[in-house]
Amino acid sequence: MNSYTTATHATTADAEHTHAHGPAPGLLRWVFTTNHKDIGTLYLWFSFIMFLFAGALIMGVRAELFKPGLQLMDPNFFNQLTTLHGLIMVFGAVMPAFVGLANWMIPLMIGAPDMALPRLNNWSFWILPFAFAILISTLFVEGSAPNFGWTFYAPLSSTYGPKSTDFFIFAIHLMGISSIMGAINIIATILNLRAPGMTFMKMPIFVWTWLITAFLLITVMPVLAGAVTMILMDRHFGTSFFNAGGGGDPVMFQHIFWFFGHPEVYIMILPSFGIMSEIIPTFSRKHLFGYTSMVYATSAIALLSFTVWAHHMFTTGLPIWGELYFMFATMLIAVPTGVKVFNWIATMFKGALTFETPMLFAVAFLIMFTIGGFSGLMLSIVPADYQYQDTYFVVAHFHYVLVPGAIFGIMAAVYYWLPKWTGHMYSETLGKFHFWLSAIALNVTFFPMHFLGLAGMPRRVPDYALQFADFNRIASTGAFVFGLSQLIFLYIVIKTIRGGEKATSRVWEGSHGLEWTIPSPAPYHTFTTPPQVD
Amino acid sequence: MGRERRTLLTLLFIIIGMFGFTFALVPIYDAFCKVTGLNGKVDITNSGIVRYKDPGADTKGRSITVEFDVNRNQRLKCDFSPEHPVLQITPGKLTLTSYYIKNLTDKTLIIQAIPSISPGIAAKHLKKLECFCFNRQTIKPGEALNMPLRFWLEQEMPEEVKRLTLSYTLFDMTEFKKEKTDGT
Repeated sequence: MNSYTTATHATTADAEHTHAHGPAPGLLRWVFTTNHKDIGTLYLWFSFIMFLFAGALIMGVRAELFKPGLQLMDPNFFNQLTTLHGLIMVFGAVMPAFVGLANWMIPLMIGAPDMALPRLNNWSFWILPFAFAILISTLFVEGSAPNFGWTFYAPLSSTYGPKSTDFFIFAIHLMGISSIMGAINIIATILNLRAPGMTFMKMPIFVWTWLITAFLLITVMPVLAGAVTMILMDRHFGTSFFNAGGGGDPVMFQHIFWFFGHPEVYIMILPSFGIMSEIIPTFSRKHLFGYTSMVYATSAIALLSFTVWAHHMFTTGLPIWGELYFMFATMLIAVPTGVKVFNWIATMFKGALTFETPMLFAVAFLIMFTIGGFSGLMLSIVPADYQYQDTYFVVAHFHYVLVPGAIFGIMAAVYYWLPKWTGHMYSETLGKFHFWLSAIALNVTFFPMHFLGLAGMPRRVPDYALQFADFNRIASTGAFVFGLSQLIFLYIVIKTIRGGEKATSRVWEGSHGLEWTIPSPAPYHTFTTPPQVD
Repeated sequence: MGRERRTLLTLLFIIIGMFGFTFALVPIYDAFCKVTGLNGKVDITNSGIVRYKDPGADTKGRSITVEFDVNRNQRLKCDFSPEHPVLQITPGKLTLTSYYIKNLTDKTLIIQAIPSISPGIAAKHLKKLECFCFNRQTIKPGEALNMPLRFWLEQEMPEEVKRLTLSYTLFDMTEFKKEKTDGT
């Protein structure tokens, strides 16, 4: 692809000045910091805490579903758990983790000294803890926390929403502002701060996928903000956007929500695609196969994502031509996605493969994300969707794309770049143990859900018919193991931060890219003199 | 800094534009539904514009089964039922039927009936001259009313529509005092 000449003098200069320009002492450093590495760390820790919290919520759900009947909680509390699990996982775990990775890695990958708008960067992070404090506080206020599912369909959230819905709306507004500011920063950085010689088609794929993701974010997050604003107005200002009695239409809510929601699912997967495109070449000791087609495929997926929203709404009474259009448009997305999967496999083909933990996660991603993609294709078939709609088959589908897709992507990235961040190698034995436990537990949890859905078990129910008992027991067992195995991940990360085998600047034998030309751990300030890219 | 500022302004423009676009989706959606008849939505505001013309004997011998369905939203406490649950209707012929409503509460209710037609493609060929759904209705405590509905099915109704359902859902609009209510 391309080769880099390290600006050796710049690196030495960095080392000399580290002392003078190191992080400020004390805890307030984290509050006032404008350093992209500090903010990246904050984002990653925040998302990890949210991941464990939202995971803990769903343990309650799986415990309730362990056997038929109501034993642990009343149905309304069950609904609050599923709602907050979804909201926190999407907006609190996956999205901030990707923004954290972007903060850490994009300046290092394009040879920039920092993000383009460092103060905005500080602000966009520090909004998040407040947004989630507001959202989570709804569990403790009088009455009910949001209980309408993460999709907050009207009129469940407008006419029938609990009082805490207003907290939820304000929290979503804050999260939206944070995401938009993060996206602005990433776009401004990539467009303006690339090292001399780094043309667009020389950028690492992770940077490309994030550039496209950031454009998706600034396009659809305002739509989400608009949707919650309309709900707020319907609730308090006498408007009837979604109230049929006043001339509105609740189905329109679903159109607006999914016009945001479908690009949103690509926001949660495109950066993972980028991570895979970094990791697979490294451990195959080859360059990425089909770099250009990767860029175009990612752009195509992003553009198509705006044209398929109503495939979430096949059973709302769309006209037949509408259903046909959305069915075929959805299937069309499988083409660029197929190009990407093909390229990853072609990268591994005849490569000198080794399977360190990041590569294990990457290969698992490849296999299981494809399973999730195929069940997505099944769902896109209109006549079949009438059977699958709102069953556990849908739950199985989106967990197969989100857990081995987004979450495994993030974990692979953490293992891959952790030595660069901390200067220490993580324990390969523990890493592999974490991987195998997660990968097996994940399949034990979600694979039976396909069967449950096909047999007709509906989503979002705290109780179910007796014939679903066995598969639910298996799924719950898997979920407990999966949840607990993430504590191993926490342990590994803390252990690596505190010490371990020294990492070289290259870290991996097959790695290439600017981030591997600086020492490990990465100095507080890097690329103060831009490197030259050939 | 000039280049960065330009990037920033472009991005802000997109963000504000998309926020505005979300609200623009509301009239776009309404217009789209009106043109396509999608969603079984019937325009309930154009009562003054519709003109009925008796087609005479030119009825092609068709007869369509129309089912009248009712729902009450928000657990509204009132009796609500159609005069006839099912009628055989010749396209082009004006039909008068009515709905019975009785307020079972001790409060004055302001209700709005919202029609929906299934299959959706039939929606734009069902025309109403007079409907209780054109306005909000004020019903005193214990009051019972027969509310008229005068409509016809256009002869352009697609051949495949042999049976259609006209459904009314009652919404309690008593809390919505802001807009004027019209009980006439």
